[in-house]
Amino acid sequence: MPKVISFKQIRYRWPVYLFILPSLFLICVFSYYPAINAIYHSFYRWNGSAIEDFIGLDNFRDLLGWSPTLWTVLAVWICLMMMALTGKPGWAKGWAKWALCGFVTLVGAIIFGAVGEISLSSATEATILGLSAADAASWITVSMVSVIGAILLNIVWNNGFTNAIKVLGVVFGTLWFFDLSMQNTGDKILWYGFAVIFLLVVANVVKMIPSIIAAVFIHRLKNEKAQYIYRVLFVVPMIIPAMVYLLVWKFFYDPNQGVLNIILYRTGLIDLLIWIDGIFHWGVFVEGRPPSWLGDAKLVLPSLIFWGFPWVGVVGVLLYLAGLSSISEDVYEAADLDGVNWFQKFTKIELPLILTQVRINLIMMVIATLKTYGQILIILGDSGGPKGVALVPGLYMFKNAFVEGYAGKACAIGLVLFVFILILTEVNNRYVRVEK
Amino acid sequence: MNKRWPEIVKHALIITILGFSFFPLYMTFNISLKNNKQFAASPFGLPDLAGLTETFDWVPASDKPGTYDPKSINAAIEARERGLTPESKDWPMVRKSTSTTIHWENWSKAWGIVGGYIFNTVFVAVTAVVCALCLSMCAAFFFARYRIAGSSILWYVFLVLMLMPSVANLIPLFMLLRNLDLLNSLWALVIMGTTGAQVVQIYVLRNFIEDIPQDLFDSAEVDGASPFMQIVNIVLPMSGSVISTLAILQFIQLWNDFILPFILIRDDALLTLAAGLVKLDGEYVKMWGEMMAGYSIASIPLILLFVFTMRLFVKGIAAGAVKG
Amino acid sequence: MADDEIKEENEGSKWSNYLAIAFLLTAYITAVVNVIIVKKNEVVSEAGKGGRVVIRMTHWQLEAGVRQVIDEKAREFEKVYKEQTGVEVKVVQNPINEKAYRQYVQTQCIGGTAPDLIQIGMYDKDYTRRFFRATNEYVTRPNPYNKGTDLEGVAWADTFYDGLNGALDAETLEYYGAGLSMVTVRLFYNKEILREVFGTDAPPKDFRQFLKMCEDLRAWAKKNDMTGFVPIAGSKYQLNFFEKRYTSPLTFDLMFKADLSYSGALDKMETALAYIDGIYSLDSNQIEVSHKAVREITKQFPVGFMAMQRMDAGFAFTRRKSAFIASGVWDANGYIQNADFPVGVCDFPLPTKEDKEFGRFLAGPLSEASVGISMQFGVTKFSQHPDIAMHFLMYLTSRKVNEELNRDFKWLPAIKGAKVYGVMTNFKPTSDGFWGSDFFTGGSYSQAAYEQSLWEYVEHKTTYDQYKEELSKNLPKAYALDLQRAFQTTLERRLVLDATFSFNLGVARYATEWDLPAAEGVKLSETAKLRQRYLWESRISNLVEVYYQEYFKNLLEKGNKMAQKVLSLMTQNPFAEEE
Repeated sequence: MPKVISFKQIRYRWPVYLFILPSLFLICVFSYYPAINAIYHSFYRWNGSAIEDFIGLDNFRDLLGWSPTLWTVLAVWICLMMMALTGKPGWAKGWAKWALCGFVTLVGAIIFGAVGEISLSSATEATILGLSAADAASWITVSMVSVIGAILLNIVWNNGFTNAIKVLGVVFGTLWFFDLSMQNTGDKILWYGFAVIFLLVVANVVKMIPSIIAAVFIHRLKNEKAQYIYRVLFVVPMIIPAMVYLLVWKFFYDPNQGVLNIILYRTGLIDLLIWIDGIFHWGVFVEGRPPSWLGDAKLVLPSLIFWGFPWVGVVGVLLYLAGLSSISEDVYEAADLDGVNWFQKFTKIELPLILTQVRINLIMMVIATLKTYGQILIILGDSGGPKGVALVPGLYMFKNAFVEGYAGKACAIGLVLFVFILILTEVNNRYVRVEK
Repeated sequence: MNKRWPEIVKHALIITILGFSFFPLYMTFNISLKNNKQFAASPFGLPDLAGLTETFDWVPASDKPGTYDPKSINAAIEARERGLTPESKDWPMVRKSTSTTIHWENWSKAWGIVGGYIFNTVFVAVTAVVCALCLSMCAAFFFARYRIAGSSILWYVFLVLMLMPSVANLIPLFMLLRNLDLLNSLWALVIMGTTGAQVVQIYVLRNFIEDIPQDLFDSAEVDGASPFMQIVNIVLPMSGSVISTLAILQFIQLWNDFILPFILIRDDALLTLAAGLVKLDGEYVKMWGEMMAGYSIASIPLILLFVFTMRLFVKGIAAGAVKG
Repeated sequence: MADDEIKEENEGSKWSNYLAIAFLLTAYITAVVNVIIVKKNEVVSEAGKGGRVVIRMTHWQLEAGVRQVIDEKAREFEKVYKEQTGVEVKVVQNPINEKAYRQYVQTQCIGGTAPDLIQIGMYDKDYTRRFFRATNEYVTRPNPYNKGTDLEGVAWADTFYDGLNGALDAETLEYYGAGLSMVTVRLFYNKEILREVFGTDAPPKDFRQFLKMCEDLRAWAKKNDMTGFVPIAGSKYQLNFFEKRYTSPLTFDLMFKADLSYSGALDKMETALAYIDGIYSLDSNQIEVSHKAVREITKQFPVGFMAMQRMDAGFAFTRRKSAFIASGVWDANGYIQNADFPVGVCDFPLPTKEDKEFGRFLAGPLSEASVGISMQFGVTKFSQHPDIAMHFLMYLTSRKVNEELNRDFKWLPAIKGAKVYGVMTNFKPTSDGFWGSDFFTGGSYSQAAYEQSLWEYVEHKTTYDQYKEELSKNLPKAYALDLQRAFQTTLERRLVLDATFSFNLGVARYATEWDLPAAEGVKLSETAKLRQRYLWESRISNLVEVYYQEYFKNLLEKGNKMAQKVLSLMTQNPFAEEE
């Protein structure tokens, strides 16, 4: 038991406080002070030095837009969904899901009735981003949000509530969110950035799979020596500094001398790509011009997604192996006797055991992706690439602060991002329990 | 027979994935030994071993048509502008490499650029790791050992930081460091490295110290050992693996840290590795060989670290990641 | 069980632990020593006390050779300065790539750690005023490093080709730094290919011949089965040069009409107002013809060139994938060095007067008289040794050094009477002709709208009618946002100017009565009077903007439909506060 020091004893035991003082001092000055200062300055028009005017909520209004209906609808939706999902508070348990159902139908009907369709493209006539927030956001949100919603839901909340309603709630809610927020007067670049992030999150979910496969395959090897060797070998390529890895990949994508294009041309795969392009009219793979992976607005996001192939992460593999190591040999033998095939072994025996790790990884990954901007800054510069196609919120914040000199606005963007991450962390803490 | 096939398939698949993972590493090393011309001629093959024994030739500069060597042409043109003729004694000579030469000089040139960055990074990383571990060990001992007025509140003060993403803090942090006159200084990076690691380290170390039988501390206290002596004599000898794991994780994190040096450091001579490499990448004239040699050199310290701590590493990352 | 395992492991790897610790310690000690050495070498101590003064300079000129040459000149300067004054100086160069430059400079300026000498540009004009030292006191004095030449005794400003006009802030009438080189844009061509195809390496004389040559080159490449060959290497970067070169001479009369302030050039507000007023539009013949001329050129570019980068185009040219490329003098050295064929340089071939399609509107050649001096460096307010930094700048712009500097850069010298070497003579600016202007770009929003529509047009994806339709749909909103911003800053600036003006008026009037030594009071008063003159000038330039505002209001009163539409598209009425 820890030693209890009562109030009376503090008089002569106070030196123990000295143990914590340096750490406390450091985090107060270098973590808390900047954070509080950022919140403070998000209400200011601030350029980092001389100009410092209090402007109230203007920064947030510029960013999020001001549409009372939209925010009310969203608030009600979030409340209802939380109630339905958590079953708390007790008095709402019975009717929350039905209220959510009704609410979704009602608002859906109103939107369809009033607007005619959920049309994201109408929202962004002023195409500041070139490729336009509209093009990208519409397909990104409509197609991807449903996928990620479903995946997140099934992995995170697999307790017996009717999944269809949950999926519906999340998907429709997110759709309104983007649809309405892009139609109001908010900052379209910021919303576009969030759409890009959602796309990257979905891509990263898919990119988690190879690690799982690699871990399972290593685990299933009969030879323990080989297991160890492979485990070590998997660490080696990942031990090279992240920055080196990033820059080498950037070099791979170089249009003239990059390894990717050399491979495409040597193997003749480029002809295949040109042929496919001819069918779909993308206009990115054409005769006589090497594809410019990071210079072509249409190729930037696919390139970012393909980045780091074969997507085996060292932390992931080791984590899953740790989880898998608790399966004893007997379980497999029993399964063999039952005639279970290899795939069923995976779904019935292995996946449940590493599910905790997968969930942790998933949440960590989502939060990390929301915060990401360092890599994009290196790869594409502070403009977020051609036509700003990869201008994620973090980078937008960085750009505002250190390039444009709008430090106050940047603080406000950071705060919006912070709230998003806080919500996700809260979801993480509440629903993703680490089963020890 | 029936049983061996699945094994072979597994090995094949794993080796394929490994092949893809090692490919960037291989290319980095491979290109680091070539010049641009050799790279264009054979991008994937390893350099010819014959290049090890062959040396460079010195030949007179020439601007005759067919001399596909800009350096040579330029030298010759400049010499003509100075009024020399190819017959004269001062006519410039250029060093010419044969097509099989292995360009080890890429490595020495790259070391000239990257070496300073590496020293700066080692200084920052090691100093920060030592400082951070000392401080967090003391704080963790406080939390694990004592229940005193305010200790639970203070615990939450630390814990809340885990939730806080650092994105929004960047600008005020920059202003704060400016006011403290810490811009363009390695100490700023040391301080931020120390601060950044506090929360996770305190969290892990507190759990670790709480698992130590508390009687040990009680009896030490009876013997008159101060709390500081207790840390040194009881906690430290037991915590070798935990501390090294934490140290390695923080070291790697600092090695890769990019945004802070990128913003805080002005002088080329004070840049740390990650930020320095980014700067190197921005140059127009791409000497791939030198760049890749630079990347290889940048990777070596971590690879060495890994060789020494392999077991710890494989275990530690898994364990650390579970808790973190 | 588990503990045993750990113990065993520790025992087994003990030697490696010691080795690791020894290794780490050695590395750390080396690192510390290295850090201390770096610190010592770069330490800044007071001038004259025996310490070394470090002068830092930052620029984005990463082109071949530039850094080495500046380093060479810096070493020379260190020697010369030590001989003259006994102060030991070290010049440290810190080139930053173009993409990160703006961010680097802004960050360092806000942080107050900016280097002594910074290449000016790539950031807002405001920054120059806020963070740079005005160098007015230097420009009227002779450059000490010109001693012994006929420029001895000539004011520093007058030794520049442009009289240092490029470094003059027209609003505050203050000089900021000085430029090192002149830059012009030219057409580069592959002499070898031209000789092979046409029998001679003479460059094209006029626009038609240029197009014809391109067609012939295309046919020749097809015949020889040279896949991937296009006559002109192009990227978005290259397009800008052609656009400028072929738009300006063909649209000069429009520019003349649109120039509301009679300044001889179009500023952004003028561009927007002239469009709203209908002085030019997408229906104007001149605009249509100039667009067509540019499109004729881009027909010879690679497919999808807008997605390519500057470096890709250069690469295509030096690897004989193209016969022509347009770029500035700054790329000359790189092209000549990297190409394994002789590179020719010529001016852009313009259409002749007789040309049926383009000749009608041709006003004459494009003048490069106002091309100005670039690679301009300024001394920041954070410099601890501004005088030494200034001396380094003066050293670089003394005739002899500037001549050598530009000979080795393969750029054009900025100083009068400096010799131009070899191939660079082709780059000498032509002063004969007209100075043109851009249309449609009335600020960042309209520029974005324009570029977006142009993108598809020059890539031959849309016809001129489609382009016209799309752009004229987007322009009103874009102009609304641009004008709104411009009107707001006009107002803000007027208030600031008025405040400064009255403050200086007060100082000029009362400084002599303050509790100061008499001489100082008089000096203050004189300074204030001088400043007032500058302020008056900048007030006039502000008044021009106010005049634009009135012009816009006038259009509204006259019932101009476009003006009303633009006003309705603004998110805030900029005139609301006044009424």
